[in-house]
Amino acid sequence: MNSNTMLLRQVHPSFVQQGRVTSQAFRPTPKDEQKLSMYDGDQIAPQPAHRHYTETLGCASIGVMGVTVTECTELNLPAIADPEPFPEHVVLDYSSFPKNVIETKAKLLKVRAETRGWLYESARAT
Amino acid sequence: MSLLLLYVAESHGVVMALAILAAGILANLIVPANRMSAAGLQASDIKLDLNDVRARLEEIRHLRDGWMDGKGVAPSNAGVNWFTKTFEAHYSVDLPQPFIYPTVEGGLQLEWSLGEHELSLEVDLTHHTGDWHRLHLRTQQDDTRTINLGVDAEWKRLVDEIGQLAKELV
Repeated sequence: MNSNTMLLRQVHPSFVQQGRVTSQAFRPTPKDEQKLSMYDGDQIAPQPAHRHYTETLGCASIGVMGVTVTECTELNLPAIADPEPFPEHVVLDYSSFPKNVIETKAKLLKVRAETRGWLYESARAT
Repeated sequence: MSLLLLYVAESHGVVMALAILAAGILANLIVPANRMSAAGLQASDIKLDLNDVRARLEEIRHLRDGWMDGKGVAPSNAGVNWFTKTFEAHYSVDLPQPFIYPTVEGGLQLEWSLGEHELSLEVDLTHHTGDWHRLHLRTQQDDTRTINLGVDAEWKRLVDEIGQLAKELV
């Protein structure tokens, strides 16, 4: 993983309305201990990552969006390899920030990812 | 496309007219390339109306506990009913309508993309409050406050703020 590495984020179907993704897709929940799970794009491509997430882990995803490591570190969100759940697993640690700062960072990452577009879509989001 | 039309033009005069007519219709249906992102339409190009908001709230009403991979509290029926009623009573149909998403905690998150501003209101359906967050994307300056959604004056302030931002886009 380096500064150009694309970090892949799975997007839940309920987090898309008429093709628009909510900033929540880039915001961890308290149950996640404020750590946002991503895939290391140097180790796995968007489509296999989606297959792993939906078929191996059995979770729901309508598609994959991405932000680079640089885009995260610019927001003081270092990408940390966390290979315990699976080898390509990476987390962004939001735990030291208050709620409004977390929301700001999530919105900025969402806009970066949205500008880049879907890296993989399992179905056209409506 | 041009070569195809040329071939049709040379071989069948009447068919050529039909082909040109069809091309014209297609041109009106196809979204201009400068409005497309890699993902399709840009978020700022999507305009919702009140019917979209009502339909979306109905969709969200049908979520069940565990909707997000085993996590995710379903918004309560009473909460969705209350929000639908208070939203329609206070929010103007002339303003940009919000995109609406469920939250893992059983609430709603309303979002607007207005020019350089990203706005959100995280609604607590139990306590009838909302966490407002307004972000200017270029300066990264944000503004937050908790709104009592049971108070008319607080709705008015919210609606006025969104209205002002929408006016700046015109």
